[in-house]
Amino acid sequence: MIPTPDLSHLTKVDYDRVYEPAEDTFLFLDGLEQDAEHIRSLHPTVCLEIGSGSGCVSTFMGSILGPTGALYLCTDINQHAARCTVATGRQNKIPIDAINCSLTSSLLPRLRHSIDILLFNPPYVPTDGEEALDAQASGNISGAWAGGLSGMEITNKLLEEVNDLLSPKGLFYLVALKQNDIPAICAMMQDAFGLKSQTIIQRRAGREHLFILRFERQYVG
Amino acid sequence: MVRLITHNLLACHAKGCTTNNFPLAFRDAQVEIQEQDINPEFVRNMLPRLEWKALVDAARQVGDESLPAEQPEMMDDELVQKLHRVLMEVRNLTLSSLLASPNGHDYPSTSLRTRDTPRTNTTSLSTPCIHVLSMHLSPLPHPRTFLQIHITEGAMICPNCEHVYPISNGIPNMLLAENEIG
Ligand SMILES: C[S@@+](CC[C@H](N)C(=O)[O-])C[C@H]1O[C@@H](n2cnc3c(N)ncnc32)[C@H](O)[C@@H]1O
Ligand SMILES: [Zn+2]
Repeated sequence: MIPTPDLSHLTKVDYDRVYEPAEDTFLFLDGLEQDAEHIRSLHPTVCLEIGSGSGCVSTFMGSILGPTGALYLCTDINQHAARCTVATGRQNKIPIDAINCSLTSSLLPRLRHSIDILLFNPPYVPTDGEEALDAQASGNISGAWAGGLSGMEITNKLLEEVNDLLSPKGLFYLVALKQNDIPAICAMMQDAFGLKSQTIIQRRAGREHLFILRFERQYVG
Repeated sequence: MVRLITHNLLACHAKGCTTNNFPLAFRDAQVEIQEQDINPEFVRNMLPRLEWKALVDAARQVGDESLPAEQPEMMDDELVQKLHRVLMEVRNLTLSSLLASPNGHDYPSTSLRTRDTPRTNTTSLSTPCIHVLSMHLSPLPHPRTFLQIHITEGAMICPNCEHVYPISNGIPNMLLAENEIG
C-alpha cells in the first residue's frame, strides 16, 4: 500500500484557489497504485504531470519511483497550484519542478519523445466554450473544472501532443468522465496516432462516472 | 525550484519564435544551494535528453565552472557527480558571501560574474537578500539537507525574441498572453 501524500500543510485558503484533491484525484492514485509494478518495470526517467493542482498525484508518483528515481515535472496554468505542488513535494520529500504554463508549451520543443510517464487529470466538466476560455485565461480555480464542449476542449489540445511527448516506452494516464465520450477518445488516439488504450479503473462518485485511461504505443511482432 | 535540469528543458514558445529560442538566459538570478542524495543511474539516463552546451553555459552563468566545454565520451563517476551537482544544485552568487559565515558552512566560493545587461525594459526583479534569506531558512525536515535555498526571484530571457519569463517564488512563469501564443 503506497501511502496517500501528506497534504496537512495545505489549508482552506489554498483550496480557495487550488483544486482540492477529490474523488477523481483519489481514483487516479488508486489506478497508479494498481499499475505501480508495471510503471517501475519501465524504469522511467522523466515524469510530467499537466495540471498538477495540489501536487498530490506527482508526489504519489514520487513515492512509487522514489525521490531520486526520476525527474518530476509539473505544469499548471494556476500559479498558486504551481506553488502548492512544490510545497506538497517538499512536505513528502519528493523534489518536484513546477512550471507555470499551459499544457506543455514551454517543454515540448525540448522534450519530444522524452516523457516516460505523462499524467493529466484535466478540467473535464462540460461547460459552454466561453466559460472554459475565460477560465483558461484567468488561471484561477475555475480552470480546474471548466472543460468546454463535452468537457473536452482542454483535453483535446493535449491529446494532439501526446504522441510527440511520449518516449518509445512511455505511458499516458488520463482522467475522463463518461460524458467525455471515452470510446471516441480511444478511437481518435488509435486512428490518429496508433496509440492503444485501456481503462485501468473506473468508479461512480455521486453524479460522476470516472475513468482512468492508459495509452501506450503499440508494437507489432 | 528552477534547477539547471529544468532550465535545460525550457524553451521560448512565443508566437513565431522557433529558432534560437533556447537556452534562455538568466537575469538577476537569486539562486539556491541544495543538496540531495545522488542517483548516478538517473544522471546517466537523463543525459541523452539534455543539451550539453546549454548546460555548461548555464552553469557558468551561475558561477560553476566544473564541467568541460565538450561532452566527454566516457562518463566516469567523477563526472557523474559533477553533473549531478550542476543539475540538481544551483549555487548562489549574490547570496553566497552572506551565507558562508552565519551558518558556519563552508561554500565553494563563486565569483560574481557580470551578466548581460538587460536588453528589455521590464523592471528588475531582484529582491533584497535578507528578504530571501528569511523566507527560505525555515527549518526543512530533510536530514541530508545542510542548507536549502530555493531560487526565489529572477527571470529567463529568450535569446531570440527577448521575451522575459519571470521566476517568482522559485517557479518559472512561462505563460504567454493571448496575442503572444503561436
Ligand atoms: C481537475 S484539476 C486536477 C488537479 C490535480 N492534478 C488532482 O488530480 O487533484 C485540473 C488542474 O488542471 C489545471 N489546468 C487547467 N487547464 C490547464 C492548462 N491548459 N494547462 C495546465 N494546467 C491546466 C487546473 O489549474 C487544475 O489545477
Ligand atoms: Zn523567443
